[in-house]
Amino acid sequence: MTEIENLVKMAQNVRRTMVSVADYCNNAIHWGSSLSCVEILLSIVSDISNISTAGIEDREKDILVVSKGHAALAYYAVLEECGLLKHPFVEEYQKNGSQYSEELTMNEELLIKCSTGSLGLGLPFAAGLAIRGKREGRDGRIYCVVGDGECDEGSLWEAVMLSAQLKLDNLALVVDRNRLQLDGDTESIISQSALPDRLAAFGWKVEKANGHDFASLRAAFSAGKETPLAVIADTVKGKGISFMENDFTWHEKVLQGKLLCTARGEVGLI
Amino acid sequence: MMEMDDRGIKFLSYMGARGTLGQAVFDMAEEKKFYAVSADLGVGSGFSRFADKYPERFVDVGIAEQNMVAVAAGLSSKETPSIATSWAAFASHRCADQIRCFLGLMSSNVKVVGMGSGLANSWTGGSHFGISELAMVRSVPGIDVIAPCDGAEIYSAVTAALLNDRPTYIWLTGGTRLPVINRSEAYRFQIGKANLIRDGKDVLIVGCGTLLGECVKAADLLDKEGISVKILNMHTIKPLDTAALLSDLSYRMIVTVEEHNVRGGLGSAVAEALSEVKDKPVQIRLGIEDFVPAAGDYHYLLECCKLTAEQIASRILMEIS
Repeated sequence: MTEIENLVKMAQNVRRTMVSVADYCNNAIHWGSSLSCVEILLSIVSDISNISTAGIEDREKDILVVSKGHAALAYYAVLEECGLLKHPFVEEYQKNGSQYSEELTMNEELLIKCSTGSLGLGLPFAAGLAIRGKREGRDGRIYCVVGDGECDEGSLWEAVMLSAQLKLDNLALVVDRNRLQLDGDTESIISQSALPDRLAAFGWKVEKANGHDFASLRAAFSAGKETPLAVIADTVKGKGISFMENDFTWHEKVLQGKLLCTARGEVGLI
Repeated sequence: MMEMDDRGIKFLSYMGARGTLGQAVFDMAEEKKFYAVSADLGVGSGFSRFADKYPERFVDVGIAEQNMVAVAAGLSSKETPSIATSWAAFASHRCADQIRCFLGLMSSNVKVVGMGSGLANSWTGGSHFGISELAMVRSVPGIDVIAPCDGAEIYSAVTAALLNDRPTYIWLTGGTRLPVINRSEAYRFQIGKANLIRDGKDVLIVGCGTLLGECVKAADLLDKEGISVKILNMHTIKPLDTAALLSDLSYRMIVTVEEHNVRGGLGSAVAEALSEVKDKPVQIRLGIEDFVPAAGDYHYLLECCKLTAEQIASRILMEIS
């Protein structure tokens, strides 16, 4: 099996784990935005960065900031798939007092450097990590995953400007371009179709990728590193579960009953 | 580091609030590694010498206070704090969510300094007044809130905050000339430990920030009227030194005095502590009565808010008789 084939299989496992959470959790879950970034998170954690590599020195270590805290479920499932969790999380997810909250909460053990969910905070924090990295001679790269809806937040653009100004070539931004946000189509709310041009105009190197294709993501992340890098990853919200795909009402919802059965079937849980 | 002898205390008060801030940061840089971040107010924060000598430890994010706090959080670690400065209004309300998430939720080792707190920016009008941040920051879980009263205390508060790993908000009142409140004999500063400025038996004044200068003058005026006043310098708003506050409640009244809205600041914090005690004197809360004064000179603004020494003294006289 090639590495890519293996990654594809891991992504299937991640989606299976995610759906199995619904057997234990009857609360609303951010299905759409979690499913859209499974490959992005897997690609960073398991393929492109050294995050899951054992024995890396602190100053060499890459760091991932998942600014779209809604993607917590996908993040936990990716950590588990990459062998980075000590115990299975599925039965613990969203339980009273659990560290597996619906949005990400800072936790060294879970490699969560930044509590997110209040959108637009992750990239500025990641920029701070990147500045520290450069000033202290650290070699690790800082990855930051944001949603396309999140790009509505002004605080994100403050960090975009600063990162270009300080030539943070150790910073890689990934935009999960799933084209939907809570109220509907991004293009009908705040259009992000000019996002690549905007980032380029601010002085970022911009690469486009298919956010569900590991080879495409790998190529995008390997682009030249003289400026901060932005990867606009085209994705499908709700990817992998037919009735959730491209349906904004699945931004956050309870999955149960017949639909849960259907979802289980589609990810191979039956 | 500077010695807090009489000369040092006078020198710092002559330097003013921001000059003293810059001096403290410059001197501390020799002792401990930290980052300084400003939102286009590096010069105004007195950071020029620090930035020249330690350029790799200084970041100017431009006029972007939300970014300032978030970047400061990213730069910081338990061992290496960040200090972030802007005008009080922008270092607090503008970046309220960043303070809530990074300093509150994540306990980031960040010291936010709100310069020009209170009415120090008197000529600008309300946009640059700092009269409501205490209410905001002290409601965020886990943040230390300090309001130093003179040069010595600003210097001590900044250095003490940089030496611990706690998220901290410093409410920096005062302009270019500061009152001298502290004396060198028995000078001490510890976060969370109120300082006794003068002892007395009739009235307890609890104050913070440079407005304590007016409180001292008010106590002198009351002394001439035969009213003996104790003044407690409650430089730490949170955690409040309730032990010092509640140790003796034999006064005829407790008066809180602050250059801040009477809703939510020092007076409210003291009232919260007193509310849990059964037998206690009445509390009078002096401060800004929930309005924004028009621009003018600093003394004019104090008059508008009934916070000059004479107004404080006559209010206390009226209440006590």
